[in-house]
Amino acid sequence: MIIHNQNKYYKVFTANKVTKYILWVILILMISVSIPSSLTYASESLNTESKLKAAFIYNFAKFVDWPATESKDTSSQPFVIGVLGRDPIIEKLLTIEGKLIKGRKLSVRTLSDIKEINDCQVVFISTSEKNNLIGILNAIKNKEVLTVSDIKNFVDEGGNIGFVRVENKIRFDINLKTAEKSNLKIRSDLLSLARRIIN
Amino acid sequence: MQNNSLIINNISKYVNISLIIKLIGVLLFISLTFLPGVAWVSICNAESISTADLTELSIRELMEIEIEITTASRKSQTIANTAAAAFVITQEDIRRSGVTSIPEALRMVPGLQVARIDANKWAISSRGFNSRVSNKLLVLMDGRTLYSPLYTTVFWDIQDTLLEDIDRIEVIRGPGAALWGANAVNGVINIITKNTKDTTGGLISVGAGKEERGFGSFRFGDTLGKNAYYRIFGKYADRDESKYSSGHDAADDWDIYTLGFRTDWNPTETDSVMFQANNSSADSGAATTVPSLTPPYSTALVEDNNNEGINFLTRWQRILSNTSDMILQLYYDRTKQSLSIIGETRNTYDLDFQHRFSPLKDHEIIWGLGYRLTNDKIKPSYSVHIDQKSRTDDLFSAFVQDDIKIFEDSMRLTIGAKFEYKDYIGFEFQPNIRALWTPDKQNSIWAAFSRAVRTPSRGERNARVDFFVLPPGIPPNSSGLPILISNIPNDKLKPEILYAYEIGYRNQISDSISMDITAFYNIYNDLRSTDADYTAVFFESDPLPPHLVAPISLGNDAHGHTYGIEVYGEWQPIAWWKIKPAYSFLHINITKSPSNFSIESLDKAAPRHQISLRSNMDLPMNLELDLWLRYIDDLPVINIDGYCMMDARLGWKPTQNLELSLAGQNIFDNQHKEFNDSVLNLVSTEVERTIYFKVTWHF
Repeated sequence: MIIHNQNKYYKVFTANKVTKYILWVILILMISVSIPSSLTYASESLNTESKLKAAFIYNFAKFVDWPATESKDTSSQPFVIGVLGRDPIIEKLLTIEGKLIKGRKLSVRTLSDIKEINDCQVVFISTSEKNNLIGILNAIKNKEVLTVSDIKNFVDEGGNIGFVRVENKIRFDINLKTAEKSNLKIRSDLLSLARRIIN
Repeated sequence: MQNNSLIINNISKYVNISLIIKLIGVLLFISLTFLPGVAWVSICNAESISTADLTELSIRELMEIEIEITTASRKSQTIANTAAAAFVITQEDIRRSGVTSIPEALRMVPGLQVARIDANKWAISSRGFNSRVSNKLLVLMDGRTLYSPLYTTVFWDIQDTLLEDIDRIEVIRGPGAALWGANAVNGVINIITKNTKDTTGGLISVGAGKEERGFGSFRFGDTLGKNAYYRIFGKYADRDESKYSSGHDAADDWDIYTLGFRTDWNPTETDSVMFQANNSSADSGAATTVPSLTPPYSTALVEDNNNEGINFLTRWQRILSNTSDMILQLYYDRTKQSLSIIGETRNTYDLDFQHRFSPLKDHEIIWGLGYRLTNDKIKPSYSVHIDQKSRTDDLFSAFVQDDIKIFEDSMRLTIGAKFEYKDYIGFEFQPNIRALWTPDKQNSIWAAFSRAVRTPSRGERNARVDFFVLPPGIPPNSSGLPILISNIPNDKLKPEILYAYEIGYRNQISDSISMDITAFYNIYNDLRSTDADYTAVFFESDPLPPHLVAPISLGNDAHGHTYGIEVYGEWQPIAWWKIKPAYSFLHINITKSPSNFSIESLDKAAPRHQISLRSNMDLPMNLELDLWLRYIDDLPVINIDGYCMMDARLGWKPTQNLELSLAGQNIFDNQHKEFNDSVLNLVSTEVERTIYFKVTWHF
């Protein structure tokens, strides 16, 4: 019932076969030339968002200055990252406790009360605290604490750094205005990598 | 449309377009690979390294790490480390493409053939063999199979969910049988919705347009106690009918409503539980041609078919140690389909268990067990006869996979297999072996060999379908009785077998350019074949009037091979502009022994070339301009001309919570046809030019 033109298919078939072989040869050449000579660090399996975010927070601390708290002799005191609410990031941060940030040993604390935020340099606010967000940010307004979270629109509500997932990768927004009000100095290297900056 | 296809056809007489496309592609890739001065940013495709190791990376490097996909190997890993032809459609891809349904979003995947039959039906397949009952593709939504065993296909018209809450759609072209079982022969699609943790707050979305007469959805999510989140959503869409080739209105209008609920709960630090419930109901118009034994010997049935589905799914994941975890999943799915020629009510109960652990250094083993019970009640019609109107089948399955690291972690070998026992098929074994070589952070090369199986459907084994009637006295019918051409079922039909060889190469050439090439060669045996045996014509008097029946019998006498290449690239020339080209080539060669009048030539209904080009621009004042150009080659076997199609979308976010968008689809063309389906005698309509306006509000 359905008749197709056999000849047409035959001609195209031969042309494509030759092209295919040529493509294979070129492909192999390309691969062999673009591989660098030394086999460097390679990869394994299983990333989780929490591990990434914990690593991000560790790095953020290196690009932010806490003038008031750092000017005093605080180099012997631990650098505290507090986590408010329940989030898998706690376990990941705990595995890097003891690492040095700006010469100070990293200490991780789970916070059960908003008042405890004052003892921290960085506080991560979990999504579970979303409904209290305004209250939390008001309580620590203008205190020298860097607020980080992955709550949606965190920086629009006044948070300092908010994580955003864009196309399978993690990005972050920065609210420079509230950071400056809290007397925090965010270095330009970090600002240049932010997806969005509120000024 | 006539103009476009004429131009393309004329050009191809003098110039071999396919050859030129390939050469340009190769030249482009060569020049990009050797582009001088490009910063080779180290892409850490890091997985399973500790947080401590991650802290050694710079922020730039952390920003390049991709979050994982799970379909390819049933565990989280990035695409770069997947030894399979994997593609992820992200939420951003869906939002910016302006698509209004899941099948339309699948068009951006190289290697998938997506053809719209009418306003509510699609023919979708991977690597060939496309039809309304395209049967070699497994589709899952959150782990629940959408594949219907009666028709061996997915009924896209009732598989809908809130597009905004889809986290990603993972597409694996090529056999996923070793992990996902029979029928995942040419591909696996897994639609994954967002965790409720990421969908708190409210969302309302409304819109209207030319073909999309009106649509609206809402979603509300919140915390539930201390460690849980939930969301509830509803969606309604009303779609206009398309047009026939003549320009007259067709009857394929469609309306669908969906209601759903999901909750995610973390009772302890190592456990997480998910539960979801969904209900969909759709009224899909369709025109079907059914044969008739009295003049005029065929009738066009134009009906509104009502299809419904309800499902419940729960999943429990538990982390056992740093290197081991387990998942237990249970779901119940009830669907009620009525097409003009057949109706089905089906209940499916599925229990699935999997465990991942590392017994030896450098070995990671995943193994699992599954049980599925499905029972159905078929309502035949005048042109579909079925002996056993109700049947219960069960399926036992087990799979095991070992992921082995060799050569100091730069090479990985994965060996696995799935074992299935189905009561009417017996025992099936589907092994595969995959190797992945990552010489450095930029490049990865993989190769795979697999065996996969497509089990015969209930329809093929039990249902007799009358196709059409040869009226008496009109050649070739020289008898005085009408001859009914019917498809006779064969309950001894064997499964189809595939041996697949695949190879792929990925290169993150620089910060802003990446490419992914896959090539495959598939050998098919025991393909379902049809045989028209004119000597077996028999007389039948029930139903009246008396008539002759010329049976077309089903067998496994076809075999052949297919091969092709799929290429995908991403290029970001400036910070605010991303270009995503994709190209696929497919060659199909199926033969049947002995040769006769054959319907399997329809298996060649796949375009040789497909090109897709997406451009996403972030303009000032929070504007987004997204363009999507596609070229699909001819389908000469079913008389479809090649076509070029362009979609455009303009989005505006006046505030952080409000998004307005204006989207046009098929804007170059008044209407064009994409497919002609003859397996279910559907009358296909043409895809029209359309435009719609949408407002989305987050609160």
